[in-house]
Amino acid sequence: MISQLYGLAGQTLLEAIRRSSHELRAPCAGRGTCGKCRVLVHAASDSAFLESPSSIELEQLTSGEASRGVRLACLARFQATGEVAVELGDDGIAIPIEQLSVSVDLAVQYAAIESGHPLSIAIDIGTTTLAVCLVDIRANAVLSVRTEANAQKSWGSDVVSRIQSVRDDAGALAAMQRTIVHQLDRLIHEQLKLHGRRADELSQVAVAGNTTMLHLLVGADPSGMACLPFRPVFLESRCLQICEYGFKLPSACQLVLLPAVSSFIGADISAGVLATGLHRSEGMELLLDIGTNGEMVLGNAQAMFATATAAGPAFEGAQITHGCPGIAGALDHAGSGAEGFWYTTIKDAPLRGICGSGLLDLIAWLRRRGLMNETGYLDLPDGEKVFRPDPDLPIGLDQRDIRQLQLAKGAIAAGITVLCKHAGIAMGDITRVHLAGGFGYFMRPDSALDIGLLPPDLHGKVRAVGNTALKGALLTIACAEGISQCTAIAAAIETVDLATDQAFQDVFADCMLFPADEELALLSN
Amino acid sequence: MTTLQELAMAVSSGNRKAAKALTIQALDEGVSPGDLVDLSLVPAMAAVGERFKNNEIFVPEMLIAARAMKESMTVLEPRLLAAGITPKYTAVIGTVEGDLHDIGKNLVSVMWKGANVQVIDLGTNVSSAKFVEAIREHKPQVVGLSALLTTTMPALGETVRVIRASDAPPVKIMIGGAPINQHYADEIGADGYAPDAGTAVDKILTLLGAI
Repeated sequence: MISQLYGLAGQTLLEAIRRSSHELRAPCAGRGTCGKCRVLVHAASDSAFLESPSSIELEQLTSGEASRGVRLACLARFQATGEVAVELGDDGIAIPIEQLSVSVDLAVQYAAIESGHPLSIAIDIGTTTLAVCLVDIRANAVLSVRTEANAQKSWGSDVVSRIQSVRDDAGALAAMQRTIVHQLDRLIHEQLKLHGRRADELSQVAVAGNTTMLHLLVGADPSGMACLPFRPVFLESRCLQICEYGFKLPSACQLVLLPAVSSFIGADISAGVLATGLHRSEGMELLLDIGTNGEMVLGNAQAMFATATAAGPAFEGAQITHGCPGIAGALDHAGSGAEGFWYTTIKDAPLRGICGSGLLDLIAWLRRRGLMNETGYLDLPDGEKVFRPDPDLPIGLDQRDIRQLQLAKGAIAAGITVLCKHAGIAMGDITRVHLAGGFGYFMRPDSALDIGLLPPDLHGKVRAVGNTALKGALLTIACAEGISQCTAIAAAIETVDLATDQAFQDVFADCMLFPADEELALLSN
Repeated sequence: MTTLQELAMAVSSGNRKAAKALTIQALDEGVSPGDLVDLSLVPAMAAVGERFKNNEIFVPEMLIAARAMKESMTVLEPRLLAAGITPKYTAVIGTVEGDLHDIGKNLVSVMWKGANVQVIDLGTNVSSAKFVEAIREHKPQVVGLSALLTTTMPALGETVRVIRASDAPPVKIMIGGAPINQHYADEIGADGYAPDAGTAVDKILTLLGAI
């Protein structure tokens, strides 16, 4: 896809993209450190508008790329005001399409009929992807669901990068708010049109999302959440007039923000607990949401403990050499069959990179084949340094990538271990694991167990449950008690701070190791 | 293999029990505590740092080796103290204000100890004033500053500025952390940067003029 980009002298290509209707994934938010915001500037004549690549930029490009006109959008700067044609690449992320259903309380149905506003919307704003669901309350039916990549991706791929963008640039908060509101508004109107419905039939839009995403939605400054004392502007559930926030929706329609627990345990997690029923369970259950952040809740009807780990970026490709999100051509699964090693890619497109589920499968395969030992040391035949799924392509995994994965999976496994300790239970006492989020949906639980992302005691208890944040938001519009239950859940969850936990460092280090050969053999049974 | 070589093996492979036993054995054989540190523990930890830098080993192995070294040091410390032997160099280390992450800083700290540098660890969320106070008190040759988040990076620059502007004794400043690179270190006027705990040893020795 070729896009015309207008930029002012002194602006970077990324800044020009942020001010345009175009989007580009910029995982490190334009700090020039991740090398992922590659764009292709086609015509040599256009290149004249841009300063030549600096040494910092050239360090991250291959000589072939540099001569073809590939640039890093965050470092390529306009030296003169003008327009350049750039190829931004197809970045459509594969998002699981789920069958959602709803069961509306009779009282809520009657109220919808009486009020003349029979429709509602449930939304989950994830850092990477978002989902918008149109519900006919009167007819007790989900009409449709739309998912897209979060258009704020030009401001970084994780919450800390987004917050840093707000701190760096006074206009970024308003720009990010405009971007998300515009995107959600469009998705709402598209669905209304699809079903031949009117905006004035809407009664409410219920939104779940992490605490930063909800701040950005209403233009609240998230700066306080990125360093001590990690203070948010608000956590509680809010009921607002949606038309005041830039949505082209009638004033009668309400914007309901679900309640959060803390800066790191957001409304998406309280909604997730509501959706899985963890807060009513007898046995100890674990809700694990491995999205851009890795949040987890362990508990039952008596008590709930939650923590968050910054584990996601590795699984979404940000810190892996050839890592990428779930885009077409991403290696998503791999293993051994009758004919030896095999792999598949998303949409069967030519191999372009490795997404989270593929990373898990590849590393589990390397471990099982003995090509990587339990410390994570890669020992390939013929002294090879890179494991290439397709020997003819440069895409592969090296030792550094495995170290990044060890940090990410170690953090999650250690988080689970520390929560068990706080709850005073053994890992084996957990009766069920709800694996939420897109990554949980795509990844193979066996691979997660093989690499120790999930501790071996959880074998046989893991169930992918899809987007529980969206399902929880749906419950708040379908049940009269939904929002008050969600508020009670948020209040009941006790957060556990890993940074101040004395045992965390040792547990974390232990969890970076891979299962030993004997443990792998046990997992196979 | 000599006892000192065996001890070095035990430390670098993280065998705590053997490290303690071999330390006692070497002392019994008449090796001086100073030689034991210089000829066995320091080379053992240098080998660990080298393997870490080359990605052959990772955080768990490094921490296990550090624990084995600590076992040996527990036996040695009273003897070193009695002999009046103290490390030649001192470093102060801490995670900057606003940031609670300490694992990266702890790894650098154990590796510096492994190079026989006395390390004063100020912990996490350390204000620039506290760094200045510690420099006045301990008169280190080097100060190490750590930050893990892009949002707490600015505190590195601020701390460097405050230390330089203070009346504390002059000191070399090293910085590190996930979002840091050499360009940033140059920008804020730090004397050194290392991407990992193994390299942090090379860097401190260079700054100290010890190699």
